[in-house]
Amino acid sequence: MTIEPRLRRFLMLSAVGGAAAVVGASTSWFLAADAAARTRVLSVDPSQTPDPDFDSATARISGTAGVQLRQALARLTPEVDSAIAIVLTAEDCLTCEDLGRQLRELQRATPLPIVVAAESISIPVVTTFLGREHLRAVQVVAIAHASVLADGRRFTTPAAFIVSTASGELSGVSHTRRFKYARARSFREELGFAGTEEHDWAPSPLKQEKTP
Amino acid sequence: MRIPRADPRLSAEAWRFLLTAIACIPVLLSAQSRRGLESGARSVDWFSVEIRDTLTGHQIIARPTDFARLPDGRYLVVDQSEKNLKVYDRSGALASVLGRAGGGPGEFLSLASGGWVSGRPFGFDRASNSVKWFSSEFKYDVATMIDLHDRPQPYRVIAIPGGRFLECSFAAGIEGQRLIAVRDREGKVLSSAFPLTASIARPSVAQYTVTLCDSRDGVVYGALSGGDSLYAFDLEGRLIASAPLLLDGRRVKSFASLVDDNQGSARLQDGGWVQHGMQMAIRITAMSGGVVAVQVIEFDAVKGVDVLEGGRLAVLRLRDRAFTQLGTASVKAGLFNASERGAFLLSWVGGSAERVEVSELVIRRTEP
Repeated sequence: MTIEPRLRRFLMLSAVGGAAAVVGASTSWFLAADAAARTRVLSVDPSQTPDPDFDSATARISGTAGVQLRQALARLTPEVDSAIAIVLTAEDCLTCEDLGRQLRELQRATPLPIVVAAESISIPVVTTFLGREHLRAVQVVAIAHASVLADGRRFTTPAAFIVSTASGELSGVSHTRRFKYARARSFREELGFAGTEEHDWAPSPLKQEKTP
Repeated sequence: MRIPRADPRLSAEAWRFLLTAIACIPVLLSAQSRRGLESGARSVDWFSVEIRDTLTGHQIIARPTDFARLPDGRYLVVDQSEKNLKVYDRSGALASVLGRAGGGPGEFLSLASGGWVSGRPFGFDRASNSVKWFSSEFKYDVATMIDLHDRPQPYRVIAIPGGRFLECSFAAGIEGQRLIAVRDREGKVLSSAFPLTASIARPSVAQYTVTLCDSRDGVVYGALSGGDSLYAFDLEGRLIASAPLLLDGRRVKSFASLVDDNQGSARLQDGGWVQHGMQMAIRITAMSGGVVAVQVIEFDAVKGVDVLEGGRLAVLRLRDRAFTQLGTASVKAGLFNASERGAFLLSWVGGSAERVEVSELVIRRTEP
């Protein structure tokens, strides 16, 4: 049977994507996600659109933090004026292969404490993920996603916000697509923190790729 | 401590002792200093690296997938999460970092595996299906594209002797496709083995299944995550032998059989997964003398599993075209490559969660 090359590639990518989504790496294999979860655009507030300052997979979000998030930050980070809130679901942790690296990069770049907010049902997966990725300094709090913003707006995850613990003012970004592989822009860059030289997304100093 | 060899005089009782020693290593290492172990009885440390982050951020080993000892005594670590390869000197100090996250030259979108072959390090980027080579001075050199013509998507690409690669694939392919291939350095397929069966090729099973493989002494060993057997092939792809994976005297249940028992669905009526809690092979490492170890881990459909968390080792020996199960052991470490001396390499995160420990297991032959 001959399969038209484009169809063949589509079938292969579809099949592989399913497997790739559930088999994250040689060291970590996941079942909970399936092919449909790979890079789909999630159903969210229609006003959440990609920000032209970023790319087609990043939306800017600003507003006021909900009461639960503000209380959690006041409790977990009592000595600072601002903190970073990362909103994750279990699916984010199981799908986004680059998430751990991005969060470590953010942690290195900012002096602000980082708190991860997740729905209670996602907490076991999120805490396991953070441990495996050596993000143990990150604190985790269970908050319904609908309570993250005071006005109850929904947004896609993963998302990262800088939150003023005093005023509750919140601004940040949400990723409208879950990327399996390395993401061109990381949370560190999107939140405006300078990276170390090694982590800047500068043109590679290496010589041009060549093929034999 | 000597390198384990297939020795017909080694009794099952002796192997039980040796495997007990394997199980003890993480406990021993967590309880003793690295130096102290060298005078211990059952293992010789490979190296131990602080994973506490530093200003450069590159010190951390987030998710190691492969280790290699370089000819000059340094160590190469492939870090899947950080998407780079790190070189450490003998003291465990970071010496070089190769590659980084990204889609450009020398960068990895999805670093799945890597190693050292013919004097040069390489990493396999699963997203671009390419092997990225670095020079012996650790500068990026060239990418070799993996031709997928009539081949399923590679899951891991590892180096085998003779400057060749062993490619283990996802099982999401077409029935009859061969899941293991031997490629030359330019990526050309030299031979293939392990045809995908109809029962595995079903989407309900295939999407949870990858191929595990390793090679030593001209024999290619293969198994499926979620499979119940271990296979051995020659380098031409011909089947030499197969054997059931036994734990506590019972064959591991295959995911395919679990799905069949559940009317062909991986989902249970309560929304759970039929594979949850079952034993699943996660890694194969072959040693000299026909000895091969399979790490089996309890599958967690919710949290996923991590090879570093350990599980059970089933150790078999191939001899006279037949496998013999030598024994099993519980381990609190992940099974990685074999060292150049043909010993197991086990790795785990240290008790303080700030160290990655890698130990070369040099097993002493003992008289029963």
